[in-house]
Amino acid sequence: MSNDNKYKFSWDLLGDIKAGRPNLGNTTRVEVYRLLQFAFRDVIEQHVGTEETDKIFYEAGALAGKEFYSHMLTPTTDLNEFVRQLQEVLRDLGIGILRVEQADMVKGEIVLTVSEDLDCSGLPELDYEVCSYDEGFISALLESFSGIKFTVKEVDCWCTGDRTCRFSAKADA
Amino acid sequence: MAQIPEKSQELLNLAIENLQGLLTDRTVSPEPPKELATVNGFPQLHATLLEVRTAIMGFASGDLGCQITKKGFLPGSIKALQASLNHLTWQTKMIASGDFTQRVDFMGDFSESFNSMVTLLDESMRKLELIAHTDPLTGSNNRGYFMQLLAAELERAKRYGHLFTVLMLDLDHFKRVNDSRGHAAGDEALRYLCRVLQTSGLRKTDFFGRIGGEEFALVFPETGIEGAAEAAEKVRDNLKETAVIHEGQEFFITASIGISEWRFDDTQETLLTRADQAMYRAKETGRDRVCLSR
Ligand SMILES: [Zn+2]
Repeated sequence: MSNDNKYKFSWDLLGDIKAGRPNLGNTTRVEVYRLLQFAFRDVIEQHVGTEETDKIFYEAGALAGKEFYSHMLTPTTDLNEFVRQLQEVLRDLGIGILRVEQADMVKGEIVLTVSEDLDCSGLPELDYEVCSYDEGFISALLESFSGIKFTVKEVDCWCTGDRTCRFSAKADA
Repeated sequence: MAQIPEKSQELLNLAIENLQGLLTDRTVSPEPPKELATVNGFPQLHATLLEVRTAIMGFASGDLGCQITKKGFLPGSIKALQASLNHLTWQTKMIASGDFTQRVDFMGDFSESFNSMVTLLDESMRKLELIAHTDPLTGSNNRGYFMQLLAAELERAKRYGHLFTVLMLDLDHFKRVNDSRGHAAGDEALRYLCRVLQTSGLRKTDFFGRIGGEEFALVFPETGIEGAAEAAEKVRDNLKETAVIHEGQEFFITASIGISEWRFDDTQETLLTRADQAMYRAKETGRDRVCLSR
């Protein structure tokens, strides 16, 4: 997909929050974030259908993940160090509590859980996983770290009655 | 209360007995009773409880690998426990591989004990490493660790083509000090030499070690032979400037120094040998001097 578009993302678009919000600062309520995300999801689905919507969220997550990696993490080749940094920044920003269940970089298989996930923790029970944005986000983080493309699937989600979101990442063959 | 038809009552009793069995019995059938197989929702409930049961039994016997496919609060809670235990396993593996930054924060009292264990391990490992790397007499790097550092420097030089130099330093007439003033005085002379080395303007990246009785080797990364010779002259001057003091007695020591510069096909051995040969030339030509291996 070409990215020479009107709304091409750049980190600068996040703006100078110090200057722009001298009184309100750089935090907002989680509800606001979710309102935005779930409103988008509804309308986009009405326009392009469920499958395309999931794809769009996955790809948007991947774009965000790539930018996030290059602006928020210090490049490293050490998996432990990468995970440590990521855990810290995800917690500090209130995105979620990341834990690694398994990580085999040789086989290209990683299982992660995110508790208190920004997108879905506390949502009513649905019969599907909702965190496709997170899937894309994680896939891009892993790709930025390792140079290998990963496909990430959310296998458990708060929304399916699980207390934590669990993501299975596999390196593309 | 409405009367339950006899047939339904029988089925209900059977269902309760079956579900009760899933909770309390040691062995259960993987399938629900035939009579209940067609009761709406019952086979699913049976399967869910069976899966939860199998998972818990697995955990109890140390098997964390069971797949929990069912959704809902109870399977979800068990999956959360499974995730925590798996994460703990991963963390323990990381600790075993030497990553002592791992901390647990989701297991109540256990977390605290676990974390203090890791902190303690970390401290002990550091202490042990220091002991393993240090020459007990002088506190400088010992031969083994110096060689490790030198190997790493060789690697770096090869990879980036950065040049570096090695100095061999041997105290002059050390045997004479030992014989005439005793071994304690000799030991003091060695400690004095190390203090001089530490205060002769070495940079953070320079390092040295005691590699023999009165023999020390120094490495100057990113430094050519001229720069190293300058540094060596400074060490030589500083060394003889101040006296060694042992039991109220003062005496002076000097050193002979040989320097070699890294060449692309060098091994530790060839590099040290050239510095050694230069050092012997310094000895042969009168001691208390610096010789270069060109
Ligand atoms: Zn989720």
